[in-house]
Amino acid sequence: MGGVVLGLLTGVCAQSQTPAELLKAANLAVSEERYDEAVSLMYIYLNEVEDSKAERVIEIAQDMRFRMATLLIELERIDEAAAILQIYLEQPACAFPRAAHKMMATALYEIADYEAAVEAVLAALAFEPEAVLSETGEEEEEEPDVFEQLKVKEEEPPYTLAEETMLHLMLAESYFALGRWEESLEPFEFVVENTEDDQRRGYAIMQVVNALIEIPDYERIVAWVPALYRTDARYDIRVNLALLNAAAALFAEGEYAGALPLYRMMIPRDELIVFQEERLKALRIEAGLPPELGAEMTADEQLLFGVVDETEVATNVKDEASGEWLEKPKALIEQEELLEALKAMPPYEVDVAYRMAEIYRVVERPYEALAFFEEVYGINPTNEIGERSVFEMVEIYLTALKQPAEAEAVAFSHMERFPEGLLPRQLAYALNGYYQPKGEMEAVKALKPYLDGMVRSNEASIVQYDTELYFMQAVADLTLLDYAGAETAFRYVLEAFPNSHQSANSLYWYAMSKLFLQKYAEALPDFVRYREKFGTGSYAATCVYQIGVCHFGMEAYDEALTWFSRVIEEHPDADVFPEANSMRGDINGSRGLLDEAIVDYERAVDAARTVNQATYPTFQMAEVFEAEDRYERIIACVETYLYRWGEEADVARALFWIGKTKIQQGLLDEAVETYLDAIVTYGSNREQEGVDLMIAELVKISKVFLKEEQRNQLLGSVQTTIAAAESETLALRLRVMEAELEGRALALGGQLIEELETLEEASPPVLAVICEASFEQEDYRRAEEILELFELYFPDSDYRRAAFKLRVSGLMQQNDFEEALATIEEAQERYGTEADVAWTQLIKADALRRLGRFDEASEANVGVLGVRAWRGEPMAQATYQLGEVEESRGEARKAFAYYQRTYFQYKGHAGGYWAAEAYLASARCLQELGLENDRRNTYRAMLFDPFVSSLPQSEEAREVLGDAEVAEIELYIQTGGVTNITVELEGAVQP
Amino acid sequence: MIRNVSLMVMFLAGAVLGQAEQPTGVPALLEAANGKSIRVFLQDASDGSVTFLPVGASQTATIPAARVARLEFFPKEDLVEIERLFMEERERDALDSFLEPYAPFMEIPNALQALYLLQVAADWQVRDVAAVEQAASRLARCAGDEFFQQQGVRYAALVAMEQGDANEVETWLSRLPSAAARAYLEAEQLRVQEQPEEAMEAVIRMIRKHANEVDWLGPCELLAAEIYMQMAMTNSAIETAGLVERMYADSAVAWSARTFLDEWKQDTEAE
Repeated sequence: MGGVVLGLLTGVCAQSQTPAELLKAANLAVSEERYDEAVSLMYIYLNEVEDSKAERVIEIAQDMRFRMATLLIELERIDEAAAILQIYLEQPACAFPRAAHKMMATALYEIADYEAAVEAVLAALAFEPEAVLSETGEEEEEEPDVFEQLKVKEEEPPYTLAEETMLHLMLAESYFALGRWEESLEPFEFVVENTEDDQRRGYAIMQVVNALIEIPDYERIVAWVPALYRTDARYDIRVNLALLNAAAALFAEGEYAGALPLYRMMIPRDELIVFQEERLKALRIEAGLPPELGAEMTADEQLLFGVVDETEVATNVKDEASGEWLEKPKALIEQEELLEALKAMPPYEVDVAYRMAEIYRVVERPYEALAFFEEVYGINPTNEIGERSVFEMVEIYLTALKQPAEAEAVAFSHMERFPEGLLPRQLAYALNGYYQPKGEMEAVKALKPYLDGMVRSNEASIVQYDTELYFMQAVADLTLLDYAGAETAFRYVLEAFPNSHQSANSLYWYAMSKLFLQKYAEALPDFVRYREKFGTGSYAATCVYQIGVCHFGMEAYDEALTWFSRVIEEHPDADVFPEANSMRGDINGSRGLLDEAIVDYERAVDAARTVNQATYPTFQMAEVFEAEDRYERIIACVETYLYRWGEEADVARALFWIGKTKIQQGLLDEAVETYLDAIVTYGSNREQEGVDLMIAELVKISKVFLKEEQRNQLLGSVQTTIAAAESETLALRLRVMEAELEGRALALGGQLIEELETLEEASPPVLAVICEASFEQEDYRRAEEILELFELYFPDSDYRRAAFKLRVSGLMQQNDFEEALATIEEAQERYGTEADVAWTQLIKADALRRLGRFDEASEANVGVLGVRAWRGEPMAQATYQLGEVEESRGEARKAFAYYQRTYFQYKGHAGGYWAAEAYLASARCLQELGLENDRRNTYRAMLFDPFVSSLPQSEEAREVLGDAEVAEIELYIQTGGVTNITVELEGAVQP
Repeated sequence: MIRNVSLMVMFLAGAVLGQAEQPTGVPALLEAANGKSIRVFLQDASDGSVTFLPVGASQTATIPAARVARLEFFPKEDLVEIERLFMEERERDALDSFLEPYAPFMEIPNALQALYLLQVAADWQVRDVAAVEQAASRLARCAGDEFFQQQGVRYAALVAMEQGDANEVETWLSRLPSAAARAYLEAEQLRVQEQPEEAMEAVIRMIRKHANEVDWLGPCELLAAEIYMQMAMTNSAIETAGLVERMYADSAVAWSARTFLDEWKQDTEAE
């Protein structure tokens, strides 16, 4: 504005001046640094002489244009400068064309007119001085002499390399600004090749990289990166930031070979600040300022630098000496601004480390990835990248390195420290996802305390994770056969996360857990509820079947039949269709409806999708056919089974049935041969349990059907086979068979205890004879080992019961009641209330009593009384043990009542053993109560009781009563006398 | 007239030269430490000395190699093509035969040292320990170029590791001023001692502490690939080698990475 006013005023005055005066006034104004006025005068002058053809005037005008352009640039009136230079270059007598081109290019570049700047730079670079023309306008044939050439050069030398480099940089930058990436490459490369400034070289390389990203041409970027490594440009803040962007772009494109070195080049912020502060000091010293920004000037510094201090980035500084405000150099201002910006930035190296970790992860360099993720996590474990890092660390340990222990260490530590939010759930989920497919359910259960420690939230995603994690806990319980735990866990999911995505599954498995616990009545309504709530759920059809199973378990066979029929009629595609048929077949079979049962079994076999679904009904059919003596049907169904299922089939069991059929057909020799062949063929495979069935069957055949000669022949064959057997498994099987045939199985068992260092080759019957011998000898040394073998190799073997019993007995002998209870629980989960495992409940009650847990012990004993399959001897023992419980807690009267009931009600069981024990225990109680007469009466009643009077326990009664009274009683009995001696106690509680 | 006399002198000189015995040796421009240059026919370099026949002289001269700042050779072969054959076609015969006459002078800085380093890398790849040992000792004496000198020390240390000579390894390591170089070689040593996890930790330490030591980072990253292979983590090994080949394109380490990948491929196909 000032310039315009000044121009107008100058114009008014100048109108009256001649060109010579104008020229003089302009020169004066320039010399007095009145540039605006000088420019105005120059404009007027040029206007005045515009039409002049005089060579001298033209030369002066051109010279003025050149000088005027210089002033206009100084005055930052770039547009005008560019216009003047354009005219200057177009007119004759242009003395400094290169300088003018350069100035114009610079001016246009400065005002960001990049299109024009490109043209100007290209013109400057392409500029060639016009050839010397002859007067005729033709080129001189001879070159100008050396002197003339030197003269031209003296007037305006060609561009120096530095100038050319600057022009190329402007050209490159202009292309870059115009988005003409490909064209920018060549001039940038010129700069890289020719600049002597290392920072500038680095900057140019960086711009090449940026242009290549834009193109994009990642291969060429990768090729450029090492060059950038070798420059100091990395210390340029702008380059550093550009590196970050370039690396991010490469990373996004999956160009890791380019991105990784760029990230590595990033200088940590603090290091960069130190470097740039040093540079700033140098610039400040160069500008005559004290080196430290904001530093208090010492006298020495004032003497040295002679300037003021200042505390912030400012464009001017006051010179103390002159009192004038001086403009700071542009480079210094820029440096100060960049430094301020850098200091304001958060430390970006953490993000860089995270990115590098990501790259290492993606390119499958897990160890390197771990190191960088760990670094990021260590700096801040709770920000976004810190959290991502710990998750990635856990994932790497689990998936790439297969080091779950390390994964757990990292995850557990984080979960403990930060139990809030999504991440601890995600970590638990990752661990869960690793363990579950491998069936490592104990490890899944180890997560439970951490889940319980997590802070609850109503946030949907967290609730979903919690639901899933707790559901997996329940599944783990189920898989570990901890049905009680599973029941609790599924119930928790249902109650804590109602209407969740796992509600349907939880409900089904909740009911299944109860079913496994044989809580049929409790499971039933849950299966019904599932059908009501999730009628189209994946378990809907299965629930129909399970309802049938519940009824079956509750011995409500009509209802069970109805539900199995519903499956058969309404859900022919259900997975459980074969099982429903098998179950209905069992019910029909038990009712004598054998034809109907066969139809069901056949349908089950036809619909079977797995070998197990076919195996059960096949051999059930065989049982039915055997009952009906339809041996040809047995052969047919077994052969059909073998044909369909081939190697998957239980071949040994099938051969067992074929052999059995031959026996029934009277083809004993063939049967024996079939069995022996099959035993030799399959007997080396320890897992072929059908072989063991055949051995048992052969033993039975031998005892029942074979004549002595045939038996001896069989025995001989077995002994020959043992001698020839190469497999220890087969040899052991046959030795058991031999011992069974000779009736010395127990002795063999005792021998094997000592003989076999390892039981790895022993099949279940071999283990069973060892168990029996051990039990007999109360030798429990190998009990644990045998049970573990069953667990590992024969979890479903019936012979496992013996191993459980041996182990529990051993533990009881060692007074390790807790462990005994745990083993019993396992056995009960497996065998429930089957008749031959009543001992589990009885020993459980005894263990509880010995642990002083009397109420539980009572409850356990009462539990025996409620099971139909355990009627008889187990009930006798349970009643006796109820007495023991009361006696143990000092309730002699109550104890007496149970003992009395034992010898009243159960004297017929176990050969009177428990009754005899009960008599003695009653007497003990009466003695405790000081009722000596009643005690003696009890002994008398014992001797009168024919179920017990001859048992060894009665010796105690004889001793107490004395010979005379005993003789009297015996005489009385011999004469046909009976007694009505009873003891009644006041206050005795009747159980 | 003057012009005619000159022509005559040149003619005579040509006739004399034509009759003279062609000098043997490797033609080169020898730049002495004091800045002076002389055209020579190099005869030999051994025991820290270099022997040459100055052009026009009739007797050879021997001076300490340390007094030679640089040698400039004038090969007639197409060096670009030789390098291309080696790098891209995996063809080393041309490189070997080309370098043969120049090899004795590699303790003196010259423009062929980069090619020589490729040859050393190739020899090391096939564990031609004797060849590597000789080349390493030449480069390790190259006081005028720190890069090639350190590369010489590197290969000398690798040879010592291969031979299980712990003292020798220590001696070479102590000659490395670069902490990055030492870190890399320590990782190498752990790998040779079949301690892959410790070696990997050392590699990671090197990468983290010396991320911009590009001369040592490449070999160290290739070492990571070898360690992964030692750990039977084949995918990681292959990925790492592939990345090294791309990141350090056109370098000796890129060549080694490609060779590593080719060998793995051959082994896999053979299985």
